[in-house]
Amino acid sequence: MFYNFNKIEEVKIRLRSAEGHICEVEESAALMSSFIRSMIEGFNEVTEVSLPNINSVVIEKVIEYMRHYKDKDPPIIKKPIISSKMEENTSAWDAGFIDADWNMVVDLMTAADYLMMIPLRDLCCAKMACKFKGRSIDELRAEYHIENEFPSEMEENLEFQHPWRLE
Amino acid sequence: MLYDPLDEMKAYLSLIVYVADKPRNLCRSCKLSIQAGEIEVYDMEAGRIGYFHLNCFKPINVTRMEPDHYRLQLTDPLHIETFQTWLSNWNKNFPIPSTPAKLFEKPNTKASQIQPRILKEIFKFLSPKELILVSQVCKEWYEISLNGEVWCFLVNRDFPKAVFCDSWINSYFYNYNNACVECGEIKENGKHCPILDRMICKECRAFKNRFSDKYGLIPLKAIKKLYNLNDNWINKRKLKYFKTSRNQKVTYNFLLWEKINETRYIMKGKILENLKRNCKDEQLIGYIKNIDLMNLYRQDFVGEDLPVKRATAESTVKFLIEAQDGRNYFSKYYESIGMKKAKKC
Repeated sequence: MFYNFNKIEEVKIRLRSAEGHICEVEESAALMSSFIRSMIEGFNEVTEVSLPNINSVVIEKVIEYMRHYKDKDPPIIKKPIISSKMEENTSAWDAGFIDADWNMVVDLMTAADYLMMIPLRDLCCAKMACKFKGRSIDELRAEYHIENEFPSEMEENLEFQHPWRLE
Repeated sequence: MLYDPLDEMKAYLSLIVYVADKPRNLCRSCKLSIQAGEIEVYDMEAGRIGYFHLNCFKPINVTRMEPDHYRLQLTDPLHIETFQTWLSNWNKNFPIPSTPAKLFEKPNTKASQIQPRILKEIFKFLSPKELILVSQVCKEWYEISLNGEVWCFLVNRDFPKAVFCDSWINSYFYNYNNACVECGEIKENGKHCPILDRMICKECRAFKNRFSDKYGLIPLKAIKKLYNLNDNWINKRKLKYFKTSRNQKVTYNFLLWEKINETRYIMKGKILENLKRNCKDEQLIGYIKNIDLMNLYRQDFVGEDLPVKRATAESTVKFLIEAQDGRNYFSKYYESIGMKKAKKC
């Protein structure tokens, strides 16, 4: 008999989301997350991993990322970031992938942190850092609904404490 | 949960208040022995000799005394009354704040959705200028952004051979003020550069290549000739320059190129907007989208007026192709300086 090893079907891993919905991924793609990797290596023949913290929408987004970078390494983002536009910091595909609204990015970030996928977490962090970069204090406060918590004396002190060091 | 320093204080701020049965101990403040029947206070924080009369006693931590902070071992109601009067006298100085402290309540804002551990990772992507700006936004960010862990990362990122001071923030700024801009090391032959307002070492400044001469100097007169620019452009883009002793204005090569790329980026956006309105040729739009702005050598893409006028017609394509292939830049550059290297390029 002649076995063609390439045609053997890959083991699929089922991810159970918070709502009980099940998504399937190839094993080689799922190994990108070191949380799932440790589950698979620790207990043999594990095919189902339950993720009670993560939405099914977010899981599908994560799986899209896993499948794209199955065979290649994701690009490394420079620290500090160069500009406030994501396209100049990373590749075009990454910039398009992360171009989502605030809640989605926060959910992705916590999910990536839980699954221990460092490149995805860094991508989300860079996206958030782009939103902070090049803004004044009042703009940031207005956008994130933060009231001025500092007492007035302390705020004067803050302005005097720090700028001398850089300018 | 945020870290509350009060929690730690509570652990060791425990007093024991009781009635002395024998004259056993000396009062620490007035040095007289505490007689039997008097109220005695034992302060755990002061250690073995921490015995006081109640009237002499003053807590070391100047805060409001609350029922968690002391342990009462009094039975006589008269003694309890005297203790209560002493307590109310002490607490006069520290009135209860009208609104309760918000340390443990999480305000339901957009910013509070992010966990502090992840916020640290975000702040590692910022430069120190932005970090200090961000720290002034709210209290939570203030604590996290001035944390030692973040600044430790920044020091090791920006300065490969850093010198350390007492705290991480101070050591960052010591290195910032004394280390070379380019290589990040503190050297003896470093000089203060007035354009950047930082130090540069001799070797980095003198480094020259066929392709890059980062710290080469260009006079502003030459720039105006090369790119057909006015003083307006220089003022608008805030190009940094320095006046030499011969009253000549001078900048670095790379500062100029940063500004030029900025304007090119803006121009590209303008042209694309114009094209989408006027002509619907998708090939042309796709072509312009893919142009790599770093590889343009032509002078034309810098001024603000020219390309927008042309952007309606197909001639933009010709113009852009010429701009990508043209290598006139180097010859004109050397002519303007007065060197005779034009043939080689």
